[in-house]
Amino acid sequence: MPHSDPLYSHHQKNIANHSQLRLVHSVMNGIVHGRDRRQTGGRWQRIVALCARIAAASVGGYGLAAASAAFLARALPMSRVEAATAATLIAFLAMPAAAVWAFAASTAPRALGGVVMMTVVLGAAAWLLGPRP
Amino acid sequence: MTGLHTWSGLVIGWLLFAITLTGTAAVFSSEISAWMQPEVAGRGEPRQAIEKAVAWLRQTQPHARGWFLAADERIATVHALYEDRTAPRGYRTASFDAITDTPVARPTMGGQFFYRFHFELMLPNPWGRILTSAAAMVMLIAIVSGIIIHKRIFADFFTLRPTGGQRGWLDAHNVFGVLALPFHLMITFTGIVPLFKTTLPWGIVANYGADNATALAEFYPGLPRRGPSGTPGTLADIGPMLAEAERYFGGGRIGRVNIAAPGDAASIVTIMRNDGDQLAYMAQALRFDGMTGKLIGAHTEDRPARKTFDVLYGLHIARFAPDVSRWLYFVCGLALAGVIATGLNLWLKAREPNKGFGHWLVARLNVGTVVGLPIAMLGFLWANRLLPATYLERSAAEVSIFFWIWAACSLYALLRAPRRAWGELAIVAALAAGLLPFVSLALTGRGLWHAMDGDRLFLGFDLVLFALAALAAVIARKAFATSGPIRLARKQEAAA
Amino acid sequence: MTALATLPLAFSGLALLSLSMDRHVRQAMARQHQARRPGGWALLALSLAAALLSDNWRFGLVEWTGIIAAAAALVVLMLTYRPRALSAAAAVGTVLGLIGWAYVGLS
Repeated sequence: MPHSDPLYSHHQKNIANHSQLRLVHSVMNGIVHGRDRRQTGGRWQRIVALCARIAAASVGGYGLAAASAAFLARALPMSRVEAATAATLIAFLAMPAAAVWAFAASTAPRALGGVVMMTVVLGAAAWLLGPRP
Repeated sequence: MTGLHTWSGLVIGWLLFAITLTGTAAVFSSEISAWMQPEVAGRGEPRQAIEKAVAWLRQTQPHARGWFLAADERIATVHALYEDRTAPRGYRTASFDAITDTPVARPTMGGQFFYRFHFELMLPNPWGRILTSAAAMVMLIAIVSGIIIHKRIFADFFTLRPTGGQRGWLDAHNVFGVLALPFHLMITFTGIVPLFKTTLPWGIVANYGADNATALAEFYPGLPRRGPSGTPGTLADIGPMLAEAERYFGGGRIGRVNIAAPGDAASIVTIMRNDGDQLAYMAQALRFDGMTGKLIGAHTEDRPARKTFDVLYGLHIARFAPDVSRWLYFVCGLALAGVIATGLNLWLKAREPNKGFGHWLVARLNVGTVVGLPIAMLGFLWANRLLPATYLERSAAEVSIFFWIWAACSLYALLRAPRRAWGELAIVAALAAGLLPFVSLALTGRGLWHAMDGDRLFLGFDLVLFALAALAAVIARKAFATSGPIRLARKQEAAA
Repeated sequence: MTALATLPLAFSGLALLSLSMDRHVRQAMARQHQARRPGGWALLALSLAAALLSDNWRFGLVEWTGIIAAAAALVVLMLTYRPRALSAAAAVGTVLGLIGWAYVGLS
């Protein structure tokens, strides 16, 4: 419960009434506490929201990594083998990034939607680029 | 985010503990292998050991599809692997040093068992690798989320308050985690990267499609490939090839020697530089025509992305590491195991007053893994000493015994109250570690007491075993101190 | 054996940095000194320099990240079990580190 959490009240006391600070504060708060700000509704909705976030982090994260690898392998301005290697190394980082996004995004639809959208965009870009000669 | 860290850590905690602890043991896999084959003392030069190995293989395995020899980085023993369809895993190994003509060493996986278990859990390819890679990726997520939620990461950097309560365990979890954080991040990421062909091949697929041959040729250019021709041929003398390789490596050492189709006219000998010479894995390789011994190809990796990959791989398997660095890898690996163990315990402590089924199960799985696995690893070493050296399938038997012991400890932990199980299993671990040097001395004639004659391997090994026994004894004492009559008295005090 | 230089210097540097924090200077029952924080960073820089000046700077750099972890662990143990000896230990560490530097023959 945020209001009884000693870390939360520490935040409340030290935040100045400055709009930019408040924005940074609410983003950090969202990342740490990961609460759905606009989530209302009963138990089933919360379960579905949680499942959506888990899916975004796991399956979504892997899909994002796969799409990133394919896109970067085709797009990076290096030889075929170099690009494929660099793409793989960078693409692995997409998974923890997706997981953090999946649980830091303010709502579950944003969490899942964000990951899916990035995956589709990168995948489409990779497909459009076509195989390298 | 706290939830992400807690639950991702819990779900793969036990598996990760096993991966981490066996990986930490694998830092010393050379020494463990040497300890497990006391008949081979690692004398002489590795090059002569390779020649002895090839001579034996020529005599006994002329029709194998390939011979794979690896010169150990630290001990002058060469392990040869060759196909044998009668073997349970399809291949056998034989170990040679410079004065061994016929391998007399007892067949065993040696330290390689901990290495193999660490990255594929002894499961069939590719399932083991997929599972460990997935666990490592979840670990990376747990570490990153852990950093995000640790708000006072700098203020708490040096803080350890060993009160025994939840705060003390959290401090320990944070200290183990933050002090060696660069190591934890590095070892996790570099552990994921090498298995990319199984787990994330899409970069390769995007650029090469299904054309694996071209991909292989571009990844390792300059090394010609050819299949067996079908006509028999005799393999040339390996000595001159080894000498030429050493000249090419500019004083560097030989690491692996692979001989493809040795009895065929189109045989190829590949000689790779020792991984102990540089950070990068497989930095240089030479190919020779098997029949004539002529150099037909060479490759030194200097392309930036490929070299980065090789260095990342090399950082993980740490074959480059000289003595101090190896011990640091070992200690940091133990710290990572400590992060996981304290984390698993924290999950319990955070729920303490309300103990449901989850608490019941997690408490028992914790004991079974955190104490049960080390007991099983020690049991693997005990099996090596107790099984007869001439028993042909002893290698597979040692592995089975490891799993049976782990299963037995887990079952015991499931049935016993956790507080008691911690103490009782810790005593078993202490005895298993503490008595092993004596049993080993009795059965092999080599031990701590022969260190004076220069047998330093056993010296180091026995000292580490005694240290582990001491650690287990301390854990047992703490476990018994907080259970039974003392705990009851404290509860009564608190209630009064 | 570059560790003979890097480890004591890293230990002293981290000890000074810990003592520049209010929480730990109280634990060590010592007084606060302004020079501690820059001094600590300077010793850490010296430790890194020793690592980079070793025979193989790449191996040295990798080893140094582990040395930092080990040195930090020693500081934590001292703060938990022997906090009052920490300032003295930091001084001893600096001397040992410089001796180690000379012994290993770094330039």
